[in-house]
Amino acid sequence: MCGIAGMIAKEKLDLGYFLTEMLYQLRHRGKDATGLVIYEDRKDIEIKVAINPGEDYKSLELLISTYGKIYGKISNVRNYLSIGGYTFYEATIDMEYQKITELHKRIDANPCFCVHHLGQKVKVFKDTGDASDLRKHYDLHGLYGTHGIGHVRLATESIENINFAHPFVSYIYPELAIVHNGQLTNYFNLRRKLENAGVQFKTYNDSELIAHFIAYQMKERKKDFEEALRLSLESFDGVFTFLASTNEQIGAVRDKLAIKPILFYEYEEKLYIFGSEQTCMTPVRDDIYAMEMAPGGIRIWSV
Amino acid sequence: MVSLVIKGMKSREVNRKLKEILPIEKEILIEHPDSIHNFATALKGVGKIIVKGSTGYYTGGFLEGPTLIVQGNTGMYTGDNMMKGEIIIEKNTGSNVGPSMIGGTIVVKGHSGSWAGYGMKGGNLIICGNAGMWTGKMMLGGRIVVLGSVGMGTGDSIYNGVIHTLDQDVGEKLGSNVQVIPISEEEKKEVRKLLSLYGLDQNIRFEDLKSVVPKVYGRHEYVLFKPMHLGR
Repeated sequence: MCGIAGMIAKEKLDLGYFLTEMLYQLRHRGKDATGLVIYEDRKDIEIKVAINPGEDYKSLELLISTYGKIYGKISNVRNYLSIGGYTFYEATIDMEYQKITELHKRIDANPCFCVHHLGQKVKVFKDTGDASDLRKHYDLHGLYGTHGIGHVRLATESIENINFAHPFVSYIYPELAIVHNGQLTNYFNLRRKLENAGVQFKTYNDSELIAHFIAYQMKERKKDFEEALRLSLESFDGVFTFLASTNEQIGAVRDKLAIKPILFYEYEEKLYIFGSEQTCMTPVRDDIYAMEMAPGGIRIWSV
Repeated sequence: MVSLVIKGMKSREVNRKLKEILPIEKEILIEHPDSIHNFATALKGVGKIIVKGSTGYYTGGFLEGPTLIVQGNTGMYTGDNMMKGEIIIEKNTGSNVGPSMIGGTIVVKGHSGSWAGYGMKGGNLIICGNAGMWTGKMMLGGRIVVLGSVGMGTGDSIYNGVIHTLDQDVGEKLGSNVQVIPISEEEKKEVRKLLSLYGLDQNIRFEDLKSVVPKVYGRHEYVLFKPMHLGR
């Protein structure tokens, strides 16, 4: 089933806390994984990489150090049932912004590493289980970002793994993230087309394709965010609803069959909330009337 | 009246308890429902259940007899396959309220999501606020009354039954195989009687009600292809 949620706060709001609460209200839509991305108001370039069980982080650190000075740390081993113990490498890098794409691609090319985020504003948190597990492992209080999106996962199309959990980012367009509810039935056709164009995939999750597709349209074909979303609606087949976010905008796309729900609520141009169900909006605003997005619709909100 | 605090209990556990208590106590008050899913499903008999709060998916599914009053919101698929009795929701409900319902009455005092009364076969569904898209889609019978506005695709592929609405623009929001006709005097009386049962007949201009009915009733005939006769 999966559930998606998002929020734009034009006034100071604890996004980390509220987004986690929203995802907690959606936990019945999937308990395989929960994740969220928050866009912070910061200047530093930050990175987070998941390291496969049994792998060392030294080669990763060596690679990153060729791009700039590192202020990093390595987290404790986190054991995942039937998968093994993953470690997470987090760092602040003093590097050129233009080289983010190159570094991200080079790290992802190594099968032992998977970049969860690399950028100047973006920060991704994801874990298996529901939002209470996410709360247990990360301190999500006091994350005063401008906007963010989140996801609860019911794994249907690919394996249960921390690297297959949402939000997905794309190395092609740093700071772009997507969360998706649904299935793309023309995944392999589109993947082949993108691979022929030189796009490098990390997983077999159809949602990763959405991130790369939009990023490719924006970076390589010089389309704007709205045009990229419109092209994705035209190209994708199946039932899908997804939220995509950049540093400045959040966009929502719903296919014409409109099987997968998406609701939105706007409050005096100060607060915008999105979610699969109205119940997920109750931690932020109780008893509101959220609008449903039209089938085959695209909407974009600016931060 | 007996009061029951169900916080932290599983759906199956709660429903088993309701089945045990309902024949003895005719009125049950539920406190701290914690938006429980599958609340009061497959519940038979006579009695009243009042919920002080909101419930989740499939509230009152397969309900056969009792009156269920939810003093909050309900989730998707409320009254799924309901057969008899009443479900009264004081606030809003999610999508697919009353799908395939066979009998009884559902009253939503707030708004409803999309696909209200999907494949409904009988009974009454009253929505006092607005309904979402595709209200009454593939409806086979029964009556839907929407006192607010309806969304696009209203009555799409409807076979039988009727949707009454006060939305004056309903003609521009129809699905396929439906038409808007003026409400008949007899229908007006029936709707007034139905709404008066729940005290909803005040300040309603019944002459403004419009009826959405099928263009072609019953099973449609489609000829997909003609088999070739290769007789010798």
